[in-house]
Amino acid sequence: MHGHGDILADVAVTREAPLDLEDEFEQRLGDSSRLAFRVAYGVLRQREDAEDVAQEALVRAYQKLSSLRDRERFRAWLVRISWRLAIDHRRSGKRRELREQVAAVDEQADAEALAAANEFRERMWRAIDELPEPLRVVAVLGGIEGHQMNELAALLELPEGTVKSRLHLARKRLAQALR
Amino acid sequence: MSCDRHADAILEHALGEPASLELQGHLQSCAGCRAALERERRLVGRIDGGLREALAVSPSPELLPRVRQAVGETTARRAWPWLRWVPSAAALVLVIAAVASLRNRASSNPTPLTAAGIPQPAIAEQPRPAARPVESTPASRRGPLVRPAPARAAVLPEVLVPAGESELIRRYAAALRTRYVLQGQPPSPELAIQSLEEIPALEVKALTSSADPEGVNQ
Repeated sequence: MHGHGDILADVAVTREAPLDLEDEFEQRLGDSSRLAFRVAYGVLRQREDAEDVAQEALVRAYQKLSSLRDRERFRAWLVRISWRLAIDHRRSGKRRELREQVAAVDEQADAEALAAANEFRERMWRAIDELPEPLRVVAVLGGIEGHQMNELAALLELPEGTVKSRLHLARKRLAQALR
Repeated sequence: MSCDRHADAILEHALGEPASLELQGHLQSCAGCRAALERERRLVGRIDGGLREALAVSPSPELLPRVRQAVGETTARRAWPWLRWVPSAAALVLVIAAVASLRNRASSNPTPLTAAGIPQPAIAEQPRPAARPVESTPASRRGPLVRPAPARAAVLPEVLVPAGESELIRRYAAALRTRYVLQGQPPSPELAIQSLEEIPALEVKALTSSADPEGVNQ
């Protein structure tokens, strides 16, 4: 799971002495690739498709990095482009067949518990898909980053109050759909 | 059921919102709503945990090398921006070369315009004998000056001749060419005229029709 200190780590990178563009990108790549992949996965739920989208998003991020004056916005920009590319990929109908299943809940879990977990996860994704996009992106990012409002607000470039109310509404709608 | 009006407040409370005084009082006295609150809390926890678990995925180890390779290709294109024009430039050069080749071939190998049987020396080797009778013809006998068909201009010398004398001049030119080819030097105009009967009529007609397809000189 992504740690909560990632934003601060990202800021630290940008405040050091100016780096060569490729060095700077390389320094960001490990963390950024995981973020881009997870955002894409939250839309596509298919690893190979999510990796394709993450790759494209990262290449675009590299191309834009030099023109991005405020480097602290890099992760927000990457989230946005990853989300949009994943949505486009999904709408294009190129998405591979969904085969993602819940891994064994634990070694003691029996087949019935595993089936129940898979069934719940499928219902949960369907409910997420039915959320309006502003709520959906908050729900997915909340699942990735945790519910730290300042982090989500930074990634979405929205006021914290807006993010908090959207996340609350998204969770409430999910709960109502999954009762 | 009388507790239905608290359902939304119970869910809000399960989502982390503080309970109102009214809800707190109701929960103290209603076991059913306390159970409902627990169910909602479990559900919300399951949703939050399910999302975290579902999104706690990591890309394969191949992703980073793929990104580095793609970025490297992008960097190369930036460093050598003109490389993107190489295929287009190569195609353009090929087209220009092909057009030039075709034009050279067309100019060095012109289509014969005369009838079979009349030899056609190269234009550069022709001494333009056909112009001489025109100069020797008195101006009073000349008709209106006409131009041969434009297609002839690239093959044979272009001369202006009186309309009524074009046939005679063509036959004279044909005789000169024949002599020129057979003997290696142009004959005198007198010899050429004397030997007009040696020129087969068929060849002269063919030359005439080819040289003046519209009959403007007839």
